[in-house]
Amino acid sequence: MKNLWLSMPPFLADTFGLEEVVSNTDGMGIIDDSTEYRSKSHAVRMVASHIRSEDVVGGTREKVLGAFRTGSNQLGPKFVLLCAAPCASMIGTDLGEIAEQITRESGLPAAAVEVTGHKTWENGVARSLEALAKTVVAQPEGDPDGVNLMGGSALNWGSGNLEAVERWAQERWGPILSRWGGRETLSNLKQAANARCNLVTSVAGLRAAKALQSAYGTPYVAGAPFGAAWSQRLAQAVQDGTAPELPRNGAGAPEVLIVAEQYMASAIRATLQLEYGMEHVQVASFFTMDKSQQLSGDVKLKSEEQLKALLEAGGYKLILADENASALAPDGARWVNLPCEASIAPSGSLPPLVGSQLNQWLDSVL
Amino acid sequence: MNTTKTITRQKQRGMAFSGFALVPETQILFIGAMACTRHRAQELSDLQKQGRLAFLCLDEVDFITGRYLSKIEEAITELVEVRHPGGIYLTAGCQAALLSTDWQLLIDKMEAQTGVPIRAHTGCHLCGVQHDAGAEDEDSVDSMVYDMLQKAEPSQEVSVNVLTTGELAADSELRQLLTGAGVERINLLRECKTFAQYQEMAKAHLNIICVEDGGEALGQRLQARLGIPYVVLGGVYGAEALERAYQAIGQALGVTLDTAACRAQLEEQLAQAKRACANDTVTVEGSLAVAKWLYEAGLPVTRVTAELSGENQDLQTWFAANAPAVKVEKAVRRQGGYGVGKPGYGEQGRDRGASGGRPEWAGRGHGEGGGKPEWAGHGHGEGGGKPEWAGRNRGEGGGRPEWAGRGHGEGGGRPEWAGRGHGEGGGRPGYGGHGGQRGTPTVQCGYTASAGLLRQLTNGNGGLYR
Repeated sequence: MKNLWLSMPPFLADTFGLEEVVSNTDGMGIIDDSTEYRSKSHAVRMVASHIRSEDVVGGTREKVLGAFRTGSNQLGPKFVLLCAAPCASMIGTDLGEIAEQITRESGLPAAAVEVTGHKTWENGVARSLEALAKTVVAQPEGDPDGVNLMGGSALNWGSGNLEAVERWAQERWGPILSRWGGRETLSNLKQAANARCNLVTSVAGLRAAKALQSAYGTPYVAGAPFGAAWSQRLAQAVQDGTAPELPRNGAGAPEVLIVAEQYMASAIRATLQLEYGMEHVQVASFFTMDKSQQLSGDVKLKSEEQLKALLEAGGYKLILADENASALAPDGARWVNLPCEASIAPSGSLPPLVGSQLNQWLDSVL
Repeated sequence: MNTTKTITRQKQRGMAFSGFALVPETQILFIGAMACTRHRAQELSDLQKQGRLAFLCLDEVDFITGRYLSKIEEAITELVEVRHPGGIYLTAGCQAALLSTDWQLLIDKMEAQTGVPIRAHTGCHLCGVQHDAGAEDEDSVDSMVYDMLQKAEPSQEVSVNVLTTGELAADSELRQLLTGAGVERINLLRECKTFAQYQEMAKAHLNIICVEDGGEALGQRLQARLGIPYVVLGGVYGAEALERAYQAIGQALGVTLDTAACRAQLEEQLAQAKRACANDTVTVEGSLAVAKWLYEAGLPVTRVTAELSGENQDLQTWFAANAPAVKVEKAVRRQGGYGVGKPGYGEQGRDRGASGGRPEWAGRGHGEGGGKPEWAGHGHGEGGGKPEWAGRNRGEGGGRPEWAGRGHGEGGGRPEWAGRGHGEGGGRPGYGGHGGQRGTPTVQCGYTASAGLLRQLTNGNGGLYR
């Protein structure tokens, strides 16, 4: 059954994506919900409206505003993002109007984010970053210069990989203009339109990158800098302002299946193709997929049932996926654990993946 | 100098819905939006790995259109086909409550279709229902774990149920008294390995109820449904009340329980407590019943803090009539913490785990215990016990090694203090944070429990002893 998870724990919801974004900044998040949301890795900058059943009748507006006033006293935010949680989304409070009220009252930029607790985490990151791109970014000044990193977060990669991506980018282009999804301040986010190019390292950064391109003409390059050869290709693409060339799959049945967030999976695929002689590698993901990164045969997964069918029919020689899903694999399948950190109960932490670190890991597991 | 000694009876927190897994060969179906799965995520995932739980993650359209009902039915059908459970517990939250779901209608239909008993646990945060409600609440997990029992004729051999969600140690007072009196079979929920074994509990001659609160309500419900008489032993303190309870047990089973040694020990403990408090006053935290016992026993009780409700109204009235000088106060539930931290103590620690200890003792790291700073444990989640007591496993408490709880993230205080959650210290009851999984509780009742309370006055250690 499509919605039934018998073997795999579900993924973190989009509300956690918003929480991850705001908690790494000097902003604040307000969730219209009966209980708090907490991060697994850091202090939160989220407050909840603590609604109760009687608010179905009266609406949640006053409680949301109350949560803002309490939260802003405690947290001193520079901006505010609002979202609903499952039950509040059914009540249908106009969070956009409340955001406007917050701005009138406090002078802080505020925006409602289309997040309700029903979708997966990358939707929350994506829509939060998009809201920020549309709300806080200032008009560019001077000639475009510098690079923004967009979409990568500790929620998906762990803080080690996130920091390593930043170092990788700084070694090539100097100080990063702003980090969208990582630790950042409003004052840096505001300058994002000054960039020469946006490097979108996770599919979660795509919406914001498109918003900045639409508003300011900032080009973007998409790809995660994992793998020695692939990360070089990506760096060259940023330098040239062109899309990096994706290695194509050979004919015949896929020999490898990678199940992960798409940009990470694509980088691993490219590395296997460019440096390990693998001819046909298939990518599947439970999360949003970018058509520009998809090769023929790549699959957007909607259920555990679908993954099970794919594994049983695929005849893969090697599967790189979270071992929480390994019970779905046919007997004898070779499984390498590629943890999904954005699960409610991850099987572990991702290994270091940036640049040649991915190669070192692949050398150890293949 | 006169000081105030404190005796604390920690309210035993009811089980979360993962407690349904105590009923062997049953399945838990967790129903909700993806965001709802954050509640006790690791516990639920562990149960899923054990094949005891499945998640049904629904979206807005499912709820708004009412389609969620047919999806629940489809999920139940699949669970029965794939896992062949003895019973199914449904746990659903806010959205189903908001839509006024008729659970009984759904259950009646699916029981008829599958032949499997089904129960729904439907408390939710939106409705303000306490997820840790104890057995006094018939919709609590502590009560619902007995809902799968089907009425049966009493067994030929003399058998009793000890109703607790904890363990009953081999050398515990109750087990020794019962076996000493020739009771052949003692049933505990935790000791049932199969659904059939669990059903044997319905054939017991007597329910001995060892929950701290709500025992009377639980006993009445089970007697009405299963016809099993009951005696409440949990939450009973003092020699006189305990003697009455044990005599009632003996009469119901047609045996004599030899409590002389236990009674003598308690009386000695009481004498020691009186000597220790000769120049002091005594504050009781957490129980009007304990306070009444100690007051009547002659201890200098001057103050009691406890949850005040209709259920202990009779005790509130007793104090007003018989001990008006004793200050009776409502316990304050500290944010994120449980129990009755002292005023000025404990507010929240960082994120998960709210300490109830002194503010300057708040542990460090992810989840915080309530012990002294220099005792803060190590690892993911930090307890508050002495370093050499740091428990094992992920999340380390600071209690003595032999107290280290089990499972993922453990408190390290005395077993009855077991921290809750993702690495939490133990601290005194009312201290210590909370979070994920706790250590397995042991039954605390009878003379041993009363003596344990008294020892708080004589040696200054907190908590209940077994």
